[in-house]
Parts: sequence; C-alpha cells; structure tokens
Amino acid sequence: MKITVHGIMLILISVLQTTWLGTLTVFGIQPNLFIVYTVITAFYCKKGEAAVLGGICGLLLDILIGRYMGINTILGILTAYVTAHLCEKVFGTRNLLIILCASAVFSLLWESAYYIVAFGLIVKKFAFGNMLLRTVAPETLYNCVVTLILALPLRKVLKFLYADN
Amino acid sequence: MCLAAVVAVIGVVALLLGRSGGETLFFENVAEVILTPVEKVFSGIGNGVSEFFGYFSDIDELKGEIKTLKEENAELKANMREGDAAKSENDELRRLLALSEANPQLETEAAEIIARSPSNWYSTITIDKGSADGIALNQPVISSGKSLVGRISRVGTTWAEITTLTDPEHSAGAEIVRSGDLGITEGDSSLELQGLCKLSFISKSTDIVVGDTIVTSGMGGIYPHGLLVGKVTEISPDIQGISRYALIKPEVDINDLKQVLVVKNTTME
Repeated sequence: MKITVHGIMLILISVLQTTWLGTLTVFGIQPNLFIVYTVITAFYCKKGEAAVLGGICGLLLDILIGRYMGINTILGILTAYVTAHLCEKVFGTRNLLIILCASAVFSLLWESAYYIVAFGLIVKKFAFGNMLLRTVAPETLYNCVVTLILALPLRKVLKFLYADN
Repeated sequence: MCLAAVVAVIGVVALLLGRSGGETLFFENVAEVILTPVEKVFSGIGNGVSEFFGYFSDIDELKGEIKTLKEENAELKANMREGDAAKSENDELRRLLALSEANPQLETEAAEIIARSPSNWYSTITIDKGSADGIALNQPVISSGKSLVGRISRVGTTWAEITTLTDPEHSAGAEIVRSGDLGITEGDSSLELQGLCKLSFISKSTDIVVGDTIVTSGMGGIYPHGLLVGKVTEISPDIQGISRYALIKPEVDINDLKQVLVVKNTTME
C-alpha cells in the first residue's frame, strides 16, 4: 500500500515538475516538489524509511536534470534522515508550522549544497551570494507556499499510511 | 327588501324586452358607460399585479436561461481559445516548413517540446524526437526564425534533451554582424532567470555597441555559421578589467517555444 501510494505520488511529482510547474514560475523561479515531498513524508516515516524515500526523490531529480548523478540523491537521503531524526528526538510533533519551518530550512540547505557542489566544485562558475539571493531564497519561499498547500491533504494520506508510527 | 324587489323587476323587464339585432339597451349602455372607466382602472391594476407576480414566477426561468447562455458563452470562449492556440501552432509549423523549404540544404527534423528543466539551475527542454528519428548528440537546434535555441545534450530512443543558449553550461562561438568581430556566447546562472546570456572574451578594441546583432561564428564544430543568437543590450567591463562582456537578449524566447527544428547536418550558410 505504502509503496503504491509513494510510487503514484512520485510519478505525479515528476510529471508536474517537468511540465506544469514550468508555467507557474514567479520571476522565473519554480518550486521544487521533490524537496517538499521529502520533508513532509520524513515527518511520518521512521529514519531508515525516510532516508530511502528521500534518496529515491533525489535520484529521480538527478535523472530528470541529467547532469551530475548522485548529488541530489545524497542530499535527499541526508534531508529525509535529519528531518525524521529531528521529528523523533527534538520536535516530537507534526505541527504544520514545524513542517513549514523544516521545509524552509531544508530547501535552503539542499539548493545551496547543490549549487556549491555542481557549480563551485565541478563547473567552477561560483557566485554564491548572488545565487543565494536570486535563486535559492525565492525558491525557498515558493517551496514554503507549496508546502502549505500540499501539507494539508498529504498529512491526511500519510497519517493513514503511517498510523502505526 | 324594497331594493331587492326593484332589482328583480328590472331583471324581469330586461328579460322580457330581450336584445334585438345586437343593439344595446339604454340602461345597458348607461351601465357600461359608468363601468368602463372603473373596469379600466381595475384591469390596469390587475395587469400590474399579474405582471408583478409573473416577474417572480419568471425569475427561475430567466435564471435557467442565464445559466444556459453563460454555459454557451463559456463554450464559445473555450472554442475561440482552442482556435487561437491551433492557429498559432499552425503559424509556427508553417514558418518551420517555410524555413525548411527556403534552406533545402538544411536537413532538419521538426520536434515538439514536451518537458522543461525540473530545476532552477539549468535551462533545458525535452523534445519528442530521439535517436529513432535520427537525432544525435550535439546537433544544433533552431527556431522557425532561424534563431539559435541550443544543442542536443542527451538522446533517448524517442526523446532528446536540448541545452539552451541561456543554460550556464552552454557556450558557442559568436560573431558581431556589423563589425565581424568574434567572441563567445555563454549562459550564466545569474542571467538565466532573466532569459539573457553573455558574450564573453571581447577585448577593449572590439567594435561592439548596444543593439548589435550577434550570430554564431561557426567555430567550435557544433554550430554552423550565421544562426541568429540575439541583440546586445548592455556592455560592461569584466571583473579583472582586462576584457569586456556584453549581455545578449536571445532572439528566441525559450519559455514561449512550442516547436523547434533539429539540424541534422551543419552545412548551413
């Protein structure tokens, strides 16, 4: 059941991310549904399960981007694992505000880390301050809005799927 | 009692006299003359009341009609939009066809754009033609106006990915049409979101002004000479101050593209 639901969700996210979201850009920025999904689901899964799901999200993003395979996979695993760990040990709650804050922090970290690795270490065209303001920060804001919209229905589905957690 | 008897007598007389040849009797006429204005007034009031209540009873009917008309209007508008979209697609395809016919030496493959980059860091588009249609790595991609779109960077059997000219990892040899001076056009992460690219490595002596047209130089082995890149919008010195760079507004708006042409041979002039 869980695999089927996550499978359908990931297919849906992949299609939306490469088609429909391209038309919903704000100042040229589109949200990243993979990051949002990784963070929200990590609040409901156990650490290991969250890491696997985060890894799959990252891998799908890597495949769709088609440049440097593995960067997003690792970032997905780390994001999901840390979120699930914090939810279990620190937050102890699945409050919408906490999910929103986590989405903001991890969007910022994920995209910054990707830029540092892909552009700073590999391509060596690095202007971090500029990109933080022009791309990472607006995307973080947009991801928060999307989290707010998606969290409400998604939380109900995840509550049902992970009733035992 | 007395009044009743009078009325009865009048009634009996009236019956006895009867009506002859449609003529009105005197008292009949008098009664009608007196009653007509009263009837008029009451009839007017009655019609008004009837119209007033009729208005309420018609509301449901009118609401139904409005709903039907609104639905019809929405349908017509949708048809019009579909018609506009089909017309614009048709125009685009006609331009692509005209370009192919005008440049018979060009071996091209028309393709439709089916997806765009999932990330804000890159500017790529995916088309519905792949190796099964003869698409190969590094083939140039142009728009209907013979403007540069980018090059094929990934190929599948039924799909291919184009790295567009605004992508930070894209570069191509460029030439300033007016002066013939050369440079390199490349994408930049900070310009990509604005839909701009950069003309780099232009020396201080290079003859370039805002508004100059930039085309591909043909150097580098990927792009043929003469593909339209865009127009210069700004010229600035680079960080070291040794050379300059120019911002280029590409001729083609990547976000508005629906169809492209993949150039299978690069012998175009």
